[in-house]
Amino acid sequence: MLFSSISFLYYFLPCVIIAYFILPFKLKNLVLFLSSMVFYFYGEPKYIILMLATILVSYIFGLLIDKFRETKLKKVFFVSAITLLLASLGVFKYSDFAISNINNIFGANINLLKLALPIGISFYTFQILSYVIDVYWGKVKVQKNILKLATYVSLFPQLIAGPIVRYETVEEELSNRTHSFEKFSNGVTRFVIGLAKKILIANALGELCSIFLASEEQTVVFYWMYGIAYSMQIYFDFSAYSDMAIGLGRIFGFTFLENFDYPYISKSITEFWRRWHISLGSWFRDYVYIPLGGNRVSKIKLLRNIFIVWFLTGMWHGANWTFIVWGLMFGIILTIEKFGFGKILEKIPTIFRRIYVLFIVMISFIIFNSENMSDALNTITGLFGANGTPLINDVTMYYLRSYLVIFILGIIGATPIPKMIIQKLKQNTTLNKIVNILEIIFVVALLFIVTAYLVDNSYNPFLYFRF
Amino acid sequence: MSDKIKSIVMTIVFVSIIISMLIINVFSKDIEISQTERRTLAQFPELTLSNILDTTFMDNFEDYTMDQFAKREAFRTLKAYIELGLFRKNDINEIYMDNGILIKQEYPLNEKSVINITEKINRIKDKYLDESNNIYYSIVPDKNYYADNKYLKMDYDKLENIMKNNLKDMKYIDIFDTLELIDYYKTDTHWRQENLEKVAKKIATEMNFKDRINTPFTQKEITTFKGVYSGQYPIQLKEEKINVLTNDIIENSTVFNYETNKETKVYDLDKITANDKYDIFLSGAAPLLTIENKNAIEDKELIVFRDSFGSSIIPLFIEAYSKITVVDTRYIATDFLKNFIEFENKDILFIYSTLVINNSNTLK
Repeated sequence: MLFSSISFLYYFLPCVIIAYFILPFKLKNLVLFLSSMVFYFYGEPKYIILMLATILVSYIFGLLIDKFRETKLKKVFFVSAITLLLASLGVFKYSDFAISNINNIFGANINLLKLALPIGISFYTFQILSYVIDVYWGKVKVQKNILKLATYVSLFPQLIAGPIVRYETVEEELSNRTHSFEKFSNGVTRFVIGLAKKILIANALGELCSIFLASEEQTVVFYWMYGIAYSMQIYFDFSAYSDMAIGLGRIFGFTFLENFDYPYISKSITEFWRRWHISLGSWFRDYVYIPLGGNRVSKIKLLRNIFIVWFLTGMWHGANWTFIVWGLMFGIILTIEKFGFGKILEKIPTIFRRIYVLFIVMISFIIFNSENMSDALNTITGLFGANGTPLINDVTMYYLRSYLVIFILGIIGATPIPKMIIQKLKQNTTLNKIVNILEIIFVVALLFIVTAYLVDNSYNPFLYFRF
Repeated sequence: MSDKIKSIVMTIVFVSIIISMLIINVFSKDIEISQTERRTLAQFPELTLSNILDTTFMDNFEDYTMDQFAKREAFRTLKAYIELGLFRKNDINEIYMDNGILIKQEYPLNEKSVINITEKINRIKDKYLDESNNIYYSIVPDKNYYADNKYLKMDYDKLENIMKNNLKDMKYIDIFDTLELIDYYKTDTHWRQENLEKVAKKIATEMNFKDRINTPFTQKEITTFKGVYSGQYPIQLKEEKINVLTNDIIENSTVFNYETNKETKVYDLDKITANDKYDIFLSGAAPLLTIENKNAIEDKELIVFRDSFGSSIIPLFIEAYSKITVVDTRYIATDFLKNFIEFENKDILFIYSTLVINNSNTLK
C-alpha cells in the first residue's frame, strides 16, 4: 500500500488511528503489528510469509545469542543468523544478477530465477541485522516479547521505504511511549508536508523525466533539465517518504531519527553523505566500516574499507552494475576528498563548492537512473552537446515554461530557507500565534490539494520501493 | 493561537477530515458512469481468495477508491486550478486552452503509424479496387494544427508527405487551408458541421460531384453539449450548441446500420441523451452503414472509409449519390468487406483525421 493513495489516507489510516487510540496501551503494539501485516499483505500477499519468517529467525537467534552469550556458541548462532538473513536478501535480490554475470563471463546458460523482489526487503533486512548485531555486541537487550520485536520490524510507517530505524532507537518506545496532541499534531504536519512533497513536486518532476526519456527531440538544455529534475525528483521522492514515516511514527508515539538534512546545500561530497539517507550511511559506518577498522588503519586498509563500504552501498540500491558504479564513484570521490582535495575545497568560495557537489550528485543520479552504463554515458555526454545535439528548441522551451514553477518550488524546498523563515517568525510571540493559525490552514489546504491529485491520479511511483 | 491550542485543533481537524471522509466514502452510493469523462467508473471489486492472492482485488480496489471518492469532480477541478493557476502548467493531460478553445496537443508525429495507415489503405486498394474506381483521400487536421505556435505540434508537413509518397494512384484532396480553429467545437475533438459547407464544396469539386449538390442546407439547433475534452480538462466551461445542416434530401434519406440491423435517420435524435452527443451524426461509431437517397438525380454510389470526423461531413454529400457506404475499419476487418460491399464503378474516399493517422494501430 502506498502512503500516497486514497486507500491509505482515507481507509487504512483512519481505521488504524481509531483502533489504536481507543484500545488500551497494552493492546497498542498488537494494533500496530496487525495493521502493519494488513499494510504489507495489501501490496505483497505472498511475501508476508518471508517477512514473518525473517522476524522469527531474528527472534530465535537473538534469544540463542543471549542465552549462550558466555560460550563459543554465541558466535555460531550470530554467524548463522547473519548468514540466513543475508542469504534471504541475496536470493531474492541478487541471484539473477549473479547468474547473468556468470552467464556473461563464462558463457554459461543458467536459467534466471526471475523471483519478484519482495517490497522493502532491503530495509527490513537491514533493520533486523542491526538488531541481531546489537544483541551480539551487547549494545541492546534481547527482546523476549516476540510481538514487540515483530512490531519493530514490521512497523508500517517505515516498513517498505525506510528510514532504516535501528532497534536501539525504538527499544524503549516499544515498551513505554507517550502520546500527546503535540506529538500527534507535529506528526500530522510532517506527514502532510511529506505527502505534498511527493505528490506535488516529486511526481511532477518524474513526469518531466519520463517526457525527456521518451522524447526524440533532446537538446543540451533538455539534458540539463532532465539531470536537475531527476536529482530533485529522487530527493523529494525519498525524503518525502521519510517525512511521512517520521510523521506517522510521531502520531503513534515513536521518534525516528532524521534521514535527510538538506543534502543539496552541502559543500563537499563528504558532507553530502552526512546529509543524504543518513540511516543507510550510518548503518554502513557502524556495522561495516568501523568493524573493518574504520580510518584508524593503514592507508591501504583504509582504501579497502572505503571500497567495501561503497561497493556495498551501491549493491544495496540494486542488482545492476550501474548502482555499483554509482556507489564506487562516491567511494572514489570521498577518497580524493579525504586525501587532500577536501582541504583544497575549503579554500574555494562556497558557491563553487555547492556547484561542485550539485554537479557530481547530478552525474551520479544520471548513472543511477540509467538502464546501463552506455545509456548513462550517452546522457552525460548529451549535457555537453555531444553528437551535435542542438542547444535548445521549441520542445525544450515548452517544457521549460511548463515546469518552471515546479523547478523554482523544488529548488527553494530543497534548502532550509522556508524552515529558517518560519523558525525566525516563531521567535516572536505575536507572530508565533499567527504562524500557528496559518500552519493549520496550510496543512488542511495541502491535504485537500493532495487529495485532489490522488483522486485524479495518473503518475505516482515511489522510486525507493525497488530497493 | 498558542502552541498547545494549535496542537489540539490540528489533531481534531485532521482526524475529523479523514474519519468523516471514510464514513462518507463507505456509505455513499457508488456511481456507475462519469458523464464528464465519458467512462464507466470502477465498482467495488469481487472479493475472492484468488483475487486477493494475485493482488487483483487490491489493484481494483485502488481504482475503486479513486473513482468513487466523494465529490470527485470537485477535487478534479481543484487539481486543474492548481496545475494551471499555481504551477502555471501549459496543459492538463496534454490538453490546453487557447482563446477559450480546448485543444489536445497531438505530438509528436508517429511516422510508423502514418506508414501503417497508408499500408492499410493500399491493402484495401489492392484487394478490392481497380480502374473502375475513382479513388480519393483527404486528411482532416486536428485542432492543434490551427493553434498558437507556442504549443507543441506534430510535423504536419511530414505527415502529409508520407501519405502522398505512399498512396499512389489516388488523388489527394487538401483541406488544410479550408479550415480554421473556429470550425471546431470548443470543448470537443470534432469539427462543427455547420461550418463544413466550404470543406464539402472543396471535396465535391475535387471529386467532380459539385454539380449534383444543388439543394441549400438549413441550419438547425439540435441540442447543447460539453465535448470530450471538457472531462479531461476539468475547468467549468459553458455548454455549446450542436447544429446540423439539413434539407429535404437529408431528411428523406435513411441509414442502415449493419451491426444493429436497424434503420435510422441521418441525424439520430435518439442520441441526444447519449454520453457523446456528437453521435447524433450517423448514430456515432459503427463498422458499416449505408445511406440510401431515393431522390438522387443519378444512380451514383460512394464508398467512404472514415473515422468519427466523417460522420458529420458525409451527410453533406448525400444529394450527389443514391447510396453511400460508410466503413469504419476500426470496427470491421477489411477481409469481411467483400461480404457486404460491391466496389466496382464506385467513387472511393478515404478520409481520416490526423488523430487517427497518428494513432493508426486502432485500424484493423
